[in-house]
Amino acid sequence: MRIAYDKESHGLVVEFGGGKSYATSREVAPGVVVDFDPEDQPIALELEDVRGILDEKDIEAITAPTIARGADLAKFRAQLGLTQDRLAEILEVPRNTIARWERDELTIEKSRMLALALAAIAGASRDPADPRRRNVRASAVAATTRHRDSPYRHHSGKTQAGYRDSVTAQFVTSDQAAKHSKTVERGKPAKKK
Amino acid sequence: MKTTQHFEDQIKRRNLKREWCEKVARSPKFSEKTATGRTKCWGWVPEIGHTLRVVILEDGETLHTAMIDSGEDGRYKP
Repeated sequence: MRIAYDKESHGLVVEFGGGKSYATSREVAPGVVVDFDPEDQPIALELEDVRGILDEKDIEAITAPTIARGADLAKFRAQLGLTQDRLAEILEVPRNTIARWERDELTIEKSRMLALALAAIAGASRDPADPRRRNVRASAVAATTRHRDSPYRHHSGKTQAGYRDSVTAQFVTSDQAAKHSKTVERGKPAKKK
Repeated sequence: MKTTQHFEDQIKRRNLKREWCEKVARSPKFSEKTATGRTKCWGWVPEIGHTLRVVILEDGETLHTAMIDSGEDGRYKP
């Protein structure tokens, strides 16, 4: 996982696709974009403007690390102030899985990397009640909520149900997801012909 | 047109050509202002058969990011 931040334009990108090629993107909430590879798997997350979502100190905390090996994950986890137990709880995996990731005994799946990135951006180790952090978490839900039920699916024709469900389960309740989804629809621009 | 470092990084990562982005920014199929004063522009790019979405900064002339839009906003075609 690699995180890049442009101080001038306030754009932030988290890459976790392991070099997979880019196919398309979806804006899952205003200013929050998820990139997908040709197999419709998430490979990157872009926040087009972090102002109002992150504090400078949060940005410093999450932009330094590159996660390529288990040791990187352990360092990143420590920077966020998370125990293996807490991270396992956030990602909904057994604690032993975190330990095995950090010992390079298991490969971290991309969907888990996205969850990890969102956990970092949302400041999972800090105040979970902060509405700005909840908004970022809700963005993960919208990554596929809008898409799956839409007639305008990705060119591959595949749905994102499994991915959507896994991310939803990790970050918000279904009530929150439904509320956020309505917000997105109301905020959509009028169709122009 | 002027560009940000973020824009340069994103078009490289997404294999997008600068001229496609500039064309969409200059002649969008449709556009909208964000709450922070930035402009999102959408336009069809025949070379790739997809809708491109470009974001312009508050100054109205600096390209900030671009992506191939496969979401609901990306369904618009010529």
